[in-house]
Amino acid sequence: MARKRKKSKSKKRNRQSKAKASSEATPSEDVEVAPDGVSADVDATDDLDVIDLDAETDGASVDDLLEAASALADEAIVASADTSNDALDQAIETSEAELDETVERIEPGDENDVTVVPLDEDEDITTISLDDDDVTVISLDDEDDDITTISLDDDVDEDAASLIAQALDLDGSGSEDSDAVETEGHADIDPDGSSDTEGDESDDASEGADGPVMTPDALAALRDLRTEGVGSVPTELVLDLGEGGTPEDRDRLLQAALAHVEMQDAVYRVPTETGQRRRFGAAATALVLLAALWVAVAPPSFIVPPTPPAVTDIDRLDGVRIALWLQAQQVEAFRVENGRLPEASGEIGGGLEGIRYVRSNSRQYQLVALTPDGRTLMYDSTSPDPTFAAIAARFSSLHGGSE
Amino acid sequence: MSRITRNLGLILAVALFVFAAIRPVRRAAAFEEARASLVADIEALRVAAERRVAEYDAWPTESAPGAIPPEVVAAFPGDSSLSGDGYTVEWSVLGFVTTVEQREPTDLPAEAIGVIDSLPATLVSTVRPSGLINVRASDPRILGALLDDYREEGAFVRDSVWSLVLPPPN
Repeated sequence: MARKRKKSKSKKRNRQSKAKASSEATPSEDVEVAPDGVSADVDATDDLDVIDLDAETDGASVDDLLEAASALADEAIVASADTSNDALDQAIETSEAELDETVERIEPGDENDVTVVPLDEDEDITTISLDDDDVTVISLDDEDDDITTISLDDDVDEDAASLIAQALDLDGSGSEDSDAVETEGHADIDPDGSSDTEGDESDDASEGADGPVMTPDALAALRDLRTEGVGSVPTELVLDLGEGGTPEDRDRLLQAALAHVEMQDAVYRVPTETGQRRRFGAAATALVLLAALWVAVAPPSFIVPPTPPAVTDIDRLDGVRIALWLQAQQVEAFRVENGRLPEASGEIGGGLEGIRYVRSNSRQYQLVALTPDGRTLMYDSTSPDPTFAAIAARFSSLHGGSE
Repeated sequence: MSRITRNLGLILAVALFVFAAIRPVRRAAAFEEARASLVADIEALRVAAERRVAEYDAWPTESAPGAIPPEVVAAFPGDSSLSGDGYTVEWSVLGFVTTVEQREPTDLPAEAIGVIDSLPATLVSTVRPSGLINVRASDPRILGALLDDYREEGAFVRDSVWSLVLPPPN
């Protein structure tokens, strides 16, 4: 807005300089009314030209008189133009004063309500401050800067922004009944331009005067911005105050900026989290952590399929006995095929390892293996343990009685 | 503070829970995959060996651990091997001694045949080969799973080796 003033001043200066140029040019064109040196000086400050028509006119020709009359006519025109410039200067000053009245500073009021106060003439910066954390600055001090940036640092609750935008009927789809937006006991934003609070009537009166007002112009400007793709309640609003913008355009953009700030303020007032909700979140987090610990340490069967039964020591001991019996079968097979006992375990076929073969004599032998607990288990060909007979019977039944 | 930041603790807890739940499930899935692959190898070798003994009355010859017996290579596709992730299958042949009573025939006249049963019998031992499939596995869960699957068929476990004896051909 200060830039607007400066532009007005600049225009004023231009016009004044033009007028001055016109007025300065005038004295140099002194009209010689009479050849005897009688002249009429017409300067910029004179509204009345004094012409001595009674002076020595004897020597003047009619043509001189006509020329002098023509010069007077031109001077009258110049004087009229100066008069118009003065009126224009007055008009410019009046407009500038009116413009100063429109430049405002928005400062935080009670409970961060936005208040509007007149801006001093010397101030070039309009500051809109919502609270200590969220500072919004509209900078208009640089004439060369065509872009005014309104920065709102905090994140915007998208849902709240959507709700507010919907309530403000920015997309034009709202009903007539949803004109006002209530924001937690503070300012109500009414498209009709009225401001109201949820509190008592005294608050209504005070805030109605100084509280934030969402004017129809602001809403219209926001609708236009939304149409132009600015979107709903962005965190940063960029307005282009181009050189060719008219004062009406700038007023419109300022209204849009103020409406944007007001909407952001309304967004901030939407309760996003309560103490009860926070406690609920902490409890849910603790429960999930406990469940994660439970699943990690002892996963339940509905999450992890049951693992196969482990091999027990009994199974392993039984396996050693079966292996001894099978190895004895290999020794007997060797004896049947070769008519003698093998000299060493190397002569015994089969894939059973870890069984020690001990030949006592040409007809007797022992097979020794270790049990899982480190004890030795022996198969003596002379008198095998009865458990081996049970194993033989089991294999005989499994293999159809061939053994 | 954004909503994500406010719920960061809950989000992390849920992620931890999902990770804790997925980890054992993935381990179980990997184990089941290895078990299925091993059982497939055992069954393929078993069927091929039994088919071989049914056709030629002879078991395939012993082979190195993890190698397919040359007589049944055709039963396995491509460059298959009898080894997988954490296990090795081995094929070998055992001999079982079978003892039967046998009475020597004599040149007695026909009318004296009835007295053969009264002659003393001789015990004759013969060797009947059988197949043996060994599986060496480092994971005891694999051994337990195989023992549970083949317990009724005479499988047994010793140390880190699971063994299954195939019956000799009739």
